[in-house]
Amino acid sequence: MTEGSIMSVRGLKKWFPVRKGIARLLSRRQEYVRAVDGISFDVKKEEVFGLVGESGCGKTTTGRLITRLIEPTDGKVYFESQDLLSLKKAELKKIRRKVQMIFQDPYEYLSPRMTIFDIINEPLVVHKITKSKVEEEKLVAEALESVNLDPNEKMYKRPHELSGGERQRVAIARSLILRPTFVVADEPVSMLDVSVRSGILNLMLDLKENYNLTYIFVTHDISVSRYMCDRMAVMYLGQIVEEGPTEDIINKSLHPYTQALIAVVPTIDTTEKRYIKAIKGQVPNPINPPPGCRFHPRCPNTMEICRKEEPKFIEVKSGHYAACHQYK
Amino acid sequence: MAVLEVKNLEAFFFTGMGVVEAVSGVSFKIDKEEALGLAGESGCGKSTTAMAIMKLIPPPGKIVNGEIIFEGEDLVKKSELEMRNVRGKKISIVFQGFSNALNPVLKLGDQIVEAILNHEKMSKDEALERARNILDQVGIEPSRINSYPHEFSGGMKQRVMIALALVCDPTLVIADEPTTALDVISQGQVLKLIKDLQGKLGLSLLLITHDLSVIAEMCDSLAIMYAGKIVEYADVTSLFGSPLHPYSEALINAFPPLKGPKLRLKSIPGSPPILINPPPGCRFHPRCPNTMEICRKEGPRLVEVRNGHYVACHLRG
Repeated sequence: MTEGSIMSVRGLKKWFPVRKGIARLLSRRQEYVRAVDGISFDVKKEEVFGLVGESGCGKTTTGRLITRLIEPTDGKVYFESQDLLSLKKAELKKIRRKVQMIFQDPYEYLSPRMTIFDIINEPLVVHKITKSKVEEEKLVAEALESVNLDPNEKMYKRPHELSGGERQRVAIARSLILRPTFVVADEPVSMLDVSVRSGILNLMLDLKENYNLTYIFVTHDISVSRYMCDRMAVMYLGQIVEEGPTEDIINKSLHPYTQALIAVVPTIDTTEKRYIKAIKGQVPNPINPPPGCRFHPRCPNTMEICRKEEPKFIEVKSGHYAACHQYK
Repeated sequence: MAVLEVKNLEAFFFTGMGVVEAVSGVSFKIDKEEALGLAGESGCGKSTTAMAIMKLIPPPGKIVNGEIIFEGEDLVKKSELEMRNVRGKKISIVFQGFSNALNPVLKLGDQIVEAILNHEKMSKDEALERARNILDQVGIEPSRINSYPHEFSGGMKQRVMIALALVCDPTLVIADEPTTALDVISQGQVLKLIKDLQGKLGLSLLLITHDLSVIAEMCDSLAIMYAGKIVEYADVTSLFGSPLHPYSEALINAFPPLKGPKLRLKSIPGSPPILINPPPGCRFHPRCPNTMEICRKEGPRLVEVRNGHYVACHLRG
């Protein structure tokens, strides 16, 4: 593992087999959706590392692979120097106290039949942390306060009695009650109203400071990613195309896809000349990605080599990597 | 003459728990080829306003007051039968939940033809030809009329929805959160498409969204709604350049900027009020940093502060 890193990912792959109909059974070749196709990155202790890309780029699947919610097809994930993927059930359970996940949809994620107390208490029960109801109530109350919810008001309510923002705070409280060191947040604010988002984002930043957390922040919204993240990796069709410090990626982006992603973000700044920029084409089918560089059919700067050879992921400037034939 | 003029629209929901005053006295107008944005958080009444214009508010909701003047005629007074001639033909709507709007067991071509033949008399072949044309206009291969909805991506389905909205040459298109469920690249494509078509076909557009940056890119003017009322109304440059209402300011500051200094985002404490028996006074006052005594007692009126720039606020109005 690299110095100063809390997590290292090497050559991570997830290929989902495509289910076949009767006609396809006759053909021999099994096809795969190459959701994550060989990615490598390090996450430094106490940083916020962003995974940014369109829907279908593999960022959510990456989050799930890292937390072992799904098993990878290939590759390695090291957490605090342990090989996460080779851990047996009992050891994995211990790791689950340290690695937690926050999901996107606060309306689906919380069980409607449980009270807020039950929801936040559940991890304590599963890991047999507490010995009495009094202790449970104390820890749950503290968890609620840490996300700025009043335990006296909310403790015994049910999810449907809370707003979207409040539900997401409950989800965060639940994921933090075991005092993890590492949290994967998958689009934690995408389903919330814009005016509620800033509260949740600021809460996450405060909690990071208070509890020395490391985050992987998965989102398609590059503006949110800029606000939250110290470093970012931009994903396209299962691969990382660019990685580096946030301000470098935003202001001095190297990869044409990153540049397109930034150009297409609508802004409130009406002093800038207003014309809508769009990138042509659709994301290709991940079952049959284009040969050579996967982005070449949509790239404005395609060269001959781009059609034939996959570009290598190289360090173009200090700490700033890109996979593009423009850079050697 | 304005294409659409909404005057003092009130639409309430008569529920078992009380009367929800979802839209409480909303007025605005849209001229020919103008794009107006209606912005606000969930529950502010913007979608209900759109449904009111189409007279599609589901029970227990109904329009209780006001006028909706479209091309000189008051839609509030029209019967359901008369509205059938308006919906889809003169005013059409593009919804948010695109995946639910298309019938999964019918081919695309059949669904578009159905929409056409509902309003216009022509042969099935002629309708299919029109369907191919409209798909081409929205950037989809015309041969896809034989595809089924599940074969399309989210962005493509949304373009199909736009095609369906345009197929009978409407004067006004209402788009309710048309890109909210799409990622940023698909969003860029769909917005560009709407903008191009608006110019080419001379459409008026009512764009409803909570995303102010989309309105900044797409619209000429903007009305910000809060708790069933319009709190500020102006052309886009004036409103974003110098917002007057504290809620407008807070909403604008809630967006993390992509460029420029990275300051801590401010959030608006509290949440929008429940609209059953709303309290007297300004509906925003419990969350406002500048509340005065009068704000608790009297609701502010929407007044013109500068040329064409209206605000409803005791402090700024």
